[in-house]
Amino acid sequence: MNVVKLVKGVFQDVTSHWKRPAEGNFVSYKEIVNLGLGGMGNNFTMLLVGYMGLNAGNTLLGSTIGIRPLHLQYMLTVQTVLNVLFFFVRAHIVDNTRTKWGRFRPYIAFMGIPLAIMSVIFVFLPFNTMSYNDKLICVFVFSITISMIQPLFTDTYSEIQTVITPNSEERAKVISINSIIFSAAPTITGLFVPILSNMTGGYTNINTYRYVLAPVTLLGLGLNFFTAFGCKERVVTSSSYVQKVGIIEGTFMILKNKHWWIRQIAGLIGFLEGATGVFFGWIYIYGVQDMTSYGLLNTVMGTASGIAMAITPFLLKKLGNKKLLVYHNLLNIVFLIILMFTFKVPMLMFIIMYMNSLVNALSLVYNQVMHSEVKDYQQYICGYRMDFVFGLAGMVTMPISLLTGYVIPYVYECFGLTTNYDILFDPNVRNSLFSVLCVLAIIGAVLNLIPFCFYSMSKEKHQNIIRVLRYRALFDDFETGDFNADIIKDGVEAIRTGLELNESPMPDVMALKAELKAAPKGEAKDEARKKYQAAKNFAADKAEVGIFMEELNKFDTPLWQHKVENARALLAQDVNALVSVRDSIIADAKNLPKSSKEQREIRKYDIQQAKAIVKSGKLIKKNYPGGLIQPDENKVKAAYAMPDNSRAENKLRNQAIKEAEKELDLYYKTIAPYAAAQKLVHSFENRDEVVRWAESNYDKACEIIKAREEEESKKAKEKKHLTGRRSK
Amino acid sequence: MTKKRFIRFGSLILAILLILSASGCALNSYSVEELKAFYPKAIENALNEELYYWKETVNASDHTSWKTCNVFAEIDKKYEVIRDENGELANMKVDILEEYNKKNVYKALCGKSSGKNGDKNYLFEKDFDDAGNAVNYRTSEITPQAYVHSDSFQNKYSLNAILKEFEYLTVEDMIFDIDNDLMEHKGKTVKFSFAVTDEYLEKYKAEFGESSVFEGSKYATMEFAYDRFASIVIYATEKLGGGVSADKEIYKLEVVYYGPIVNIPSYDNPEW
Repeated sequence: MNVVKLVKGVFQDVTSHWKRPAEGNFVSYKEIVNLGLGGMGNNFTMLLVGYMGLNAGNTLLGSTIGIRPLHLQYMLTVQTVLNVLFFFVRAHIVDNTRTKWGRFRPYIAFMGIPLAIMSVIFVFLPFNTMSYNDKLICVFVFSITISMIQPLFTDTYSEIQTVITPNSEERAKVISINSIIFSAAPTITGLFVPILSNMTGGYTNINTYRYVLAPVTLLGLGLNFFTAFGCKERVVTSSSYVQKVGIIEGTFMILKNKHWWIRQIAGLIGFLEGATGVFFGWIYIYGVQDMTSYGLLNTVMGTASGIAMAITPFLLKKLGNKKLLVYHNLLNIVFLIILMFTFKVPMLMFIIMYMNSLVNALSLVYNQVMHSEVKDYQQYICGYRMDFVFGLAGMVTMPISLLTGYVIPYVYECFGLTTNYDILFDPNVRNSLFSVLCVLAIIGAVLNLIPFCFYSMSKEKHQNIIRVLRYRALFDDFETGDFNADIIKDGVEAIRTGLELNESPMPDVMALKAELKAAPKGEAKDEARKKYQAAKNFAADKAEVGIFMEELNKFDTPLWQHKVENARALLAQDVNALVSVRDSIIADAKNLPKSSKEQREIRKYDIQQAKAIVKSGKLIKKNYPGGLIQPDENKVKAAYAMPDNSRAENKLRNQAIKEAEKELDLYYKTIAPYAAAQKLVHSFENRDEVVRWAESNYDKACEIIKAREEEESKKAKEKKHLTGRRSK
Repeated sequence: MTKKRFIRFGSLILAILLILSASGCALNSYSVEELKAFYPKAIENALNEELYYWKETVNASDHTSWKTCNVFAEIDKKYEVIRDENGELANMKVDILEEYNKKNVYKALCGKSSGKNGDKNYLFEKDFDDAGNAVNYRTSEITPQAYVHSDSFQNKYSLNAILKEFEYLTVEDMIFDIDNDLMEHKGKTVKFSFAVTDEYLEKYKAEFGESSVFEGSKYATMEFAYDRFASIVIYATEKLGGGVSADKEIYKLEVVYYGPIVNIPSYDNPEW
């Protein structure tokens, strides 16, 4: 009965909000379906376009056309390097796209067309009689061109999902419904394309790409218009200026983040882990040669990630991030070892690969969690929130990734897999190559696990970092004069719980453990276990509260007192005086004593400061030769307030915002150490006042939040009641 | 350094060493002397194989051609060929395709065919007209074992026929001091490039009464895998005009020793 009720409820909800969204929401169900159909179009279009990806496991470029694995890797190297340049070109193009359709929808509608045309032309080239060099040139030109354009089509679709509604709760709902709709596309193609390929000679025959994949790609082009015409972009932008961190400066800051490095190194040295990724496809294409079974199993394989995503939140809650990661990697090693002895039996191979892919898919969720932890840690150590810069910082390790990318293709060639992939039909050749790939994958999995043994971001540590960030947010709001109820409530509670934790006595965990052991079975044992567990958790929390206490009492330390003293000395002069600062201050800082830890910290800080001050002086001379002029911050607000009703008005407004922000960016970049000193002194002088201000506003903040929650709950009840009445 | 740090540092070094050794399929150089001993053996090993799948491309100045021949038989769970009581390969099948100037001209399939009157061994053949339509269907009752031993197959499609010239060629006939010189040994593969002597071309013509595939060539690249012939690509200089020239593939042969599964049509279907 409940299921019937649920289905009825969903039906009512969908039909009543088909064209008009529910109150407080922005997106109707019709728009979500349009988004999903466009997503299917995106997937269908990418079916053939995706085969232009440069890797040896690619059955079009490798098995069918016969491009050597190492040559594919050479081309991939060129493509990756070019992509760094094109990344900025594309970002510039999209950022400056302002049409009546918005920024992303024109690309969703039309960028699939050149991609589809190019990939269709490519597969109809006469490869059978082409020389190897001609094939190589064709593959290079088409693949590189496609890869440069492709993100304009695929990334814009991802982006529209983030701006379809300004309501984050609704966005999560839209994305999850959308993923259900558009994932029908890979399910359909994963099942039917292999079956249809039976008629065209399988995945090693160019006819499969010409007569099965190409029509699907062309069909996708039509579906893209559902998103282009049936969805809206709803962008909300802040009208006040936020000080920005430069890309290079931000990248250097990230390079000091040890947790980021651990994740990077794990990726770098674990590159062999994916060596068995080709098994499933190659065993069915070259071994079993039954594309119907392949299609069916491919569909079953697709369920692994869905199951993994559903169970990951529970596992994360039970085990925590680090434990889950370690267990995942250990299981990965176990499955790879089993695979080494079972890959010759296709069905056993499939079962093991299914289990392995299920376990691997756990990382889809916990990697996001880890990435957020790393970002929070970054904000904790440098004081700035950075998102986009992380992608750029990742490029630092790109040369190593490019080099390590040659290992697997090199192994392929050592085992006879050069231009003629038909060698894989020979089971002896295939098995000897696969055995080596299994060993490499096991080594990769072990190597991938090692760096994570150094990952020290525990749940408790992260909680305290969040506590620090909440405490710091109070200072920002106090300075700007903003009143954000959530920030006040969170900040005050962070201080209160931090202090309470610090002042509470450490529980005697060992004694409680002994009590647990001694307790008789039954209720007493359960009670003792609960006590022990609570004490253990409390002890773990308390062990990390030092992070917060350090922040709270930082101005009592000699280093911070020195920082404040220096900042005051800097502010005692006019900002223009930075021009006359001599370069020798860097040498003076370097001459400071460094015998104790405290002295070394002070020396390090002074050197950094001296360098920043000297740089600032030079920038003032360069950027403001006639003297420093502080731009008016109200200009940004005025620019945001400009009319935006026509295309011409929109252009003028965007130009004004850009110019006003550019002026402020330049100013704050030029006087960076001076602005930092102002903030520091202000924080020091108001540190007690900020806490008092927050405490005094705590009740008010709680009332605002309570009222807001009650309002939301009332709305939800009304909605439920209305749905119930309609269903009656 | 504490013990803990030492262990961590040690494991990091171990990781680096492991990665280096894993990627350590060291590139081995290969000498002409080694090739002299290896070349005839690799050709002999190839000719000893009963199952093979070859693909030949000819890019002549006046025509192009593409031929494939797959001699296939079933293998057991230990990847050994299955033989009947007479020692013949069980469930053997042959698949031949010929293309001339990018158009199909001939297709043949031979093996056990199912039909109303039970299983029978047949050779199915068909030609293609200029429009690409299949014409001239022929069927003859013959076992694949007998077919591969027949003169029509042996002279045209057998591995002996296709490797005839490379069996005749010796390392002494090769010139290794060329612009595109290559001589490498990577794991299970040996790859080298060479040109042939003028004496060889004359010798071949005199011996077989036809021109060598190397006639007019600049150089060739040959590859062996698992101690057997794997491929050869022969290049000639193509003048592109304006004094510019490029290497053009005039001949390519690729051989593997177990091909894709062959499906034999039913003998009840006259136009298969």
